Amino acid sequence: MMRAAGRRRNERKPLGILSVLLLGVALTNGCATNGPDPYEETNLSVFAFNEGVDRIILEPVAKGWDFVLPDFVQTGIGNFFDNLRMIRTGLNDLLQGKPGRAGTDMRRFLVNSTVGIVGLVDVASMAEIPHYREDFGQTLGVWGFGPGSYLVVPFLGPSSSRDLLAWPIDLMTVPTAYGVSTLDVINARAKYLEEIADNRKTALDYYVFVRNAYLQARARQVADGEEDAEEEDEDFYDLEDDEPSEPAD
Amino acid sequence: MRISTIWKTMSRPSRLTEVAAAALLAVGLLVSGSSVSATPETAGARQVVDTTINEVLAVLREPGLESPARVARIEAVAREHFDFETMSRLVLKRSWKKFSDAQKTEFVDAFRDHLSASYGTRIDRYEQQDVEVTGERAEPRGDVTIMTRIVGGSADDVTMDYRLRERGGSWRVIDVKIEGVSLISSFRSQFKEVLSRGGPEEVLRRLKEKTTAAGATRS
Repeated sequence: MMRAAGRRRNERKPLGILSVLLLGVALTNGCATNGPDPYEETNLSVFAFNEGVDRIILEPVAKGWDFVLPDFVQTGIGNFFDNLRMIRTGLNDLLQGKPGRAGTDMRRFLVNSTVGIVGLVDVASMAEIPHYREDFGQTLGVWGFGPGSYLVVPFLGPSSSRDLLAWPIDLMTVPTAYGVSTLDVINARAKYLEEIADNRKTALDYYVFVRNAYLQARARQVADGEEDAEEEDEDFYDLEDDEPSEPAD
Repeated sequence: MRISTIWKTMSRPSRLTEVAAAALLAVGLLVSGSSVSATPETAGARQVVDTTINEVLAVLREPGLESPARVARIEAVAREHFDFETMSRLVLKRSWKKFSDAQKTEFVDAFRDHLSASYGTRIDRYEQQDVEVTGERAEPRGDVTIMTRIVGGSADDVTMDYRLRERGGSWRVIDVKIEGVSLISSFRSQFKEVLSRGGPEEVLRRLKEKTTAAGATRS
């Protein structure tokens, strides 16, 4: 299975990117009348597939990883990959017209790459340099593209037409050999072992829970935490007054 | 001097990128954090959040307290500062009216138990953390949001925004947003799904079933 994943990764560079772009365009143009999840039926099957892959392969591997490696090693590896992603963050800061943040993020990258020993130690956070994370999906969002349709992608998990479209660009702006990024995936999965197990157990509907969390979190990342208070306020009132619009069912 | 040497050997940047990086750095140095001070509008809500956080942190830091006892104490804090009735109405929105009075009471209790069981255990895990208030906002129709950030521990840098509403003379929490994910929105979307399949009875059954499952994770 791991080998198959590796092969997929090698193939997708030339051909994969093109097909993903085409797919993204097709999906963005598709009618999105049925809420944010017009492909719910397909998404549900892919979600079930991904859950299976996680339970059979990724989660057990991550548990072993978590058991063998002390916390500080896991933190160090996490920091290392986080630091590599700062280049992508810096580039996207510029694309989003935020030179100030690009400066902060480059400063973080420089400090952690040097004093922080190739990024293993997050010295920047100790020095209270803020930590932003940007990717091309967020840039497209800042440029005015909505998320489009919610999509669950095999092996990758929750996404949207916009974010899937941006994904190849993100791959190109993170300087990691693909083999090494497998470690990133395992290490990140190990960090959330308890959280994910809890959510699976306690969510009333885990598919809906993940979909909602993904769309909310991405919207917030695009807005850099600046929510539209007016629009949001709507969700906290009209408890009784919209009764007439209730659909009969 | 030494830093720049390491940086150079590491990535061999051209003269131009080095200059660009230095320029970006200079701009970055000008960006500073925000200072937070309570306004008359937000003072009441701010005090409730400060109290809640301090009470929870005090429980987490109390030496020799066993996990189940800590969870119970955190639940007690939540009961005092959270408005579970408003939260219940918010998550069910229009469907609230489909519930009979008895079902409404049952729902508020069941929802509170569910939140306690699923979130109480989680908070219990965060031991070596601190919380700082990073901002506050008066919402258009009178609610107040207090933004906080966790510092240190396994949840370092995670943001938690509390939305509060004044009712009967006291401010209480009606929503929590963790990393931008609103608890109300999350539950609303899930209840909508469950309601479309089975109505109030099914919602109550499911809620209790999942509370038991959450309770089983406690040890």
